[in-house]
Amino acid sequence: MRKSKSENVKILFYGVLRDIMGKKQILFDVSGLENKTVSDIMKVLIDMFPSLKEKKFEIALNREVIRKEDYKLCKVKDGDEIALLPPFSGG
Amino acid sequence: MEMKSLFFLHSREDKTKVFDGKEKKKKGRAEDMRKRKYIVKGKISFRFSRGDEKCGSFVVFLGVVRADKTPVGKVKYIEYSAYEEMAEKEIEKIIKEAKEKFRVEEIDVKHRVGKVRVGEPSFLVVVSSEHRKEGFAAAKYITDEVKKRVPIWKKEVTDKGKIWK
Repeated sequence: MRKSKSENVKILFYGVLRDIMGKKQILFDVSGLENKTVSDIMKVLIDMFPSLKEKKFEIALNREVIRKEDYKLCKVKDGDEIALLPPFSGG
Repeated sequence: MEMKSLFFLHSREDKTKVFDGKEKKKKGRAEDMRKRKYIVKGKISFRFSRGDEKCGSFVVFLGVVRADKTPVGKVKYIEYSAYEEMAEKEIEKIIKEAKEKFRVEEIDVKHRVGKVRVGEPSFLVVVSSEHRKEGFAAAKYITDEVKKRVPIWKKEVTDKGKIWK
């Protein structure tokens, strides 16, 4: 059996999501995923943490907000950073 | 007269201190924060180059924490947090855009993170320009865009609880 190498993506939580998750970040090993897209990662993440489903947030991949329609197109690789960003309220 | 005193402070200390908050220093965190240009902890200040004879206008906007009423009482302070690396990048972009859109000279932006009490400033925008019209327009553009696009969050804290905004 082939031993697969782990591919870790950092997932960061901000604002209210940090309180809901009870943590600032997790490391997510995507090596087992068939399609390594943002959309696929989010599916697994929401299965693991169903409370995320009711929350409104945008997603940034490597510090750039991506459009919802691109979640399926954006592929991630080892070392990438995904951030879940609730609506901003600075100022 | 206010402008004069700002410049006076500026020319004497080469740094205009608008506000000093209490600063708690944790070593690792403090080092992190030194790398930040726009996201600051504990103190808002700005630095402009001296003696630009072209500039007849100096617009300063200060966003200050209000004692808003919430379902869990009146706000005592706000706890600001930011996705700092991305916030720095986004503010840099907004400043660049403002310089392209308006005839202005220098721009500085600061946003505090951490605890900011009622009456204390959390957000500063400064624009110098030849004429006031462009300065006001640029300052408005920057304040609006920062609120819209920069990943910063506030948690309002009252005597009875906390609310994410």
